[in-house]
Amino acid sequence: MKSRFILAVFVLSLLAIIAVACAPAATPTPTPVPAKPTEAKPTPTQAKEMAPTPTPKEEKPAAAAPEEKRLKIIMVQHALCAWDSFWCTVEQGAKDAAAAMNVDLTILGPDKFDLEKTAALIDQAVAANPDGLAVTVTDPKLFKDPIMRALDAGIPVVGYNAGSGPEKDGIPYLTYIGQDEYQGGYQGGKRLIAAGAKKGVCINHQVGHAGLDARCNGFIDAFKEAGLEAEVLAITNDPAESQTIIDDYYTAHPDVDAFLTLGPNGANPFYAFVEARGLKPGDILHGTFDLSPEIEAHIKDGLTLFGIDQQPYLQGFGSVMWLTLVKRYGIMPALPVTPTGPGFVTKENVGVKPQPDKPLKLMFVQHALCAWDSFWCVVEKGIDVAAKQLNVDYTVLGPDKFDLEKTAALIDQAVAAKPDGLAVTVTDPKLFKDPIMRAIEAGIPVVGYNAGSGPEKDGIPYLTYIGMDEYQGGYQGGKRMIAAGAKKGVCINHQVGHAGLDARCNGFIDAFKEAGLEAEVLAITNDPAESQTIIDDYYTAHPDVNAFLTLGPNGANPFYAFMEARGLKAGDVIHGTFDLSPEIVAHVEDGTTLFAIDQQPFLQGYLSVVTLTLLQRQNISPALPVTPTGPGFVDKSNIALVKALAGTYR
Amino acid sequence: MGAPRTKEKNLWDLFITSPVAGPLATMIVIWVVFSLFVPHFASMRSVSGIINAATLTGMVTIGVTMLMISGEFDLSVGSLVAIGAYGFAFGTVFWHSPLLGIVLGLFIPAILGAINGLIFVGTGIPSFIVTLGTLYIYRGAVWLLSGGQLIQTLERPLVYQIFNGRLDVVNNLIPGANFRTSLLWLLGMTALFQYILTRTAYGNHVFAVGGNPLGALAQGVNVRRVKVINFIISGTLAGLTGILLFSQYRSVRVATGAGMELSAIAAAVVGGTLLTGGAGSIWGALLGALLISTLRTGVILMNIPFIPADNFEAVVGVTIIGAVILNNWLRSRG
Repeated sequence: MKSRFILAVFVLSLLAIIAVACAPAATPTPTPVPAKPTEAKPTPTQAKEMAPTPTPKEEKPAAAAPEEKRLKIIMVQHALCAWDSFWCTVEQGAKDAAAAMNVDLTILGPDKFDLEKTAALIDQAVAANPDGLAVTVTDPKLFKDPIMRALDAGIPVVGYNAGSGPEKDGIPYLTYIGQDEYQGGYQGGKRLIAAGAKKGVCINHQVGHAGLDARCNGFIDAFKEAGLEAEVLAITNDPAESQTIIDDYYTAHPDVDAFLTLGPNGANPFYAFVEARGLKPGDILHGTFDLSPEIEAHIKDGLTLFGIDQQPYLQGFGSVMWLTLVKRYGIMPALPVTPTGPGFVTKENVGVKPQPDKPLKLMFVQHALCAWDSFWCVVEKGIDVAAKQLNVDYTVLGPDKFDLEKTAALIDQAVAAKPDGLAVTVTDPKLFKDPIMRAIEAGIPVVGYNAGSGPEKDGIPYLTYIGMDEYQGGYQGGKRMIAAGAKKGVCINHQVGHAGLDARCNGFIDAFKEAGLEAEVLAITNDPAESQTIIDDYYTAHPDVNAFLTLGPNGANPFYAFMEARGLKAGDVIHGTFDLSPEIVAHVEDGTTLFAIDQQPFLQGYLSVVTLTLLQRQNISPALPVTPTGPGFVDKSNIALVKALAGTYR
Repeated sequence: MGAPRTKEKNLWDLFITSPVAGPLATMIVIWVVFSLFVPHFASMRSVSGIINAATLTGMVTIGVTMLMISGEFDLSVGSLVAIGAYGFAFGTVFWHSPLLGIVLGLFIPAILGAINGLIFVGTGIPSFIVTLGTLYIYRGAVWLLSGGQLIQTLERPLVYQIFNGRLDVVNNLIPGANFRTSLLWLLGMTALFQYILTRTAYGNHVFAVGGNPLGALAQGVNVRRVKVINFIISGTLAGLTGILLFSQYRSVRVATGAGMELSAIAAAVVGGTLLTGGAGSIWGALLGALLISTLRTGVILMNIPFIPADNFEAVVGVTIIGAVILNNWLRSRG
């Protein structure tokens, strides 16, 4: 027995020696990193696959940093600060962003409200051939032709303040930067429910107005989801009449305890009703859209829980920021609508004055570091670029190997340093909950980035999660394929049961269903030969399927083998995929693959700095529980830029 | 049955007592049924698809079958496929040396196979447990080797064409065919190991240590040596599988080959190898791998409305059990 034991010890040590001897010889940085960046709980075998880290890398010639290139951006809006004070805040945001980001900014607008004139100004802007153009899409029909001329000239275009997104407006600009009305009502409803609401009413002063109706729909959906009731109450332009309508309604429905008003027009008669009825703060719950001196006073005295702001500063700031990101790094806004609101103004932050020069010290705690995992170099680059632009100090903390306990301890270390803002990868919500709660209780604003599922799913009330939205990746991908002519789709899933991958397929299938088309999931395996045949057989059995979505290089690789074996050429079928690999990059270039979806790690670092800085300096809070950095679409339009910046910015 | 003994009857006897009888009979029945009833099944495209899908599993199955006949399991082969593929990738992609790639791709898995064997004979722990442990250890080694990174190349050097290129000599003769050189490697290795198993003294020892270890020991067979050699064979063939895989797909990642160990055991068992050791054949195992591949293709092509495309593996599972029941029935009659 003793000799056997010695033999066993010998064998195990030999094994260890081999493992150690092989590792450094093979790669310069041996990294046992189970850090799948978008998923909360990584399992070792799937972890790193989502990280777009093509190897081997080619050496790239050193070039000037993209930030050093001065850009020229033009904004065209239907009104100006000179004659409408609302726009001063928008313009201030745009100017601040331009100064920080090395941009020459020109703001054009008519000298009185005149849409024809505004449309002409768009053409004037296009003639100046800027690096980016932001437009208020006030009248999509009238503005369509001039905006199309900008797009045809290869100028990136975003909409801001007025518009409904590229789809509803019927103009393929990049994204609409403005208030998400539905989310305003929905998030507002959730806040009222969290405060104890049992039955709600949405007081609508203009039923039939699409934006206001969307607010009420969101509010009612939030109540329905919680198993509660809510409905719409129409009021008029006569405040006395409106006050009586609300009063009578309350008499008829004494169990209603939550009231949402859609602006000062509703809040004003509501406050008159409260006063006449002798109601006190705490008797009922009230939330409203917009701010007025009256509303601010009632937020302070506790009668009104919140005022929802569309955050005009962010509309200007975001327009310049997004156009800069698109032009310099090929980074794309994740969604057709990039919401600047709902921004909630509550007792905690009401009346806070902007402090644009406030010195800030931010801290980042992440479960991995650039030093031993190259994926994180891109995230850290994003932090660094944003911090330099906005002139804030920052510190990045991370363990020297993958160690969640250590990471949790680093959060506490960061809290002890009393930073002005803290960003954390919520890799393990259970383990990280206590240290993050200690930060929140100490009054430090916290955002999650790269790993997490948002404050609600993670069960930790941090501000927002800045990372990939997997469902939207599949959904937006599906829509692009349908626009390209897809008739029937299949989502090729290499790991059915993996929550993140399943969400991608669900989004894809929903996009097809919405268009009245069919799509389903095809499961493949870890054996590429088997997978290739499965795809081939599936295509034989379903020759009408012409759209294939793969969820990463693991699916794309056997898919390309299938195409080659089958003799299919670019254009025979429509292919889209997640992530980038050398093979995928080559196929995007040759047109076989319509798009590759990137989670844009640079943006995860960059937006964390921007979000915390704007919160501290401009009192601007993130609009949604999840601030998506992806899907970032890489297609023929930006593949060259993405390829050139791979490894540093992409 | 009382029928007169004829030459046909002798052939039948020969057939039914052969270990490939079960899988071959099942194969013929399924092919006939599928050809008649499944649209698009009877085509060169689906034939070559079935074969291509079975090449990687088939290659792993050869080594696993040798081991199972000698009474042992190797669950670490899936991880060894990834190690072989990474070794070959390092050699060919980073150092541009096909020779170094082949050496790394074969030798590292061979050494790790030997370690499986040595832990097994050194500790006496059942091989199922030993290799269940090394399945995870070796997958961990893949992490270390690769740094978690995908290796992918777009180059197509000659060495890839040799191991797993298009077999256009054949493909050009038969319309719709899509065979690859990996098929030749698979047939070659099958013939080689079938020969070793049935025509050499070593082959006899393999059957003996699996069927009756005490008897084999009494006959002077070095039971431990035979088993360790079989572990090395199993590891080396897993490495070769990794080389074939990388040669066609030019891509390897940390999860590559995960689950292949169970496909290989399934193929071996469907192919008539006994889980208890002492019986089986390499041809049978190859048939087993092809049979599973055929079923998968058939089920997908059948396009059964109530079986969605992400759930056909369950049907394959049901049929694996059916095939083994048939094997056992034939064996009891033989």
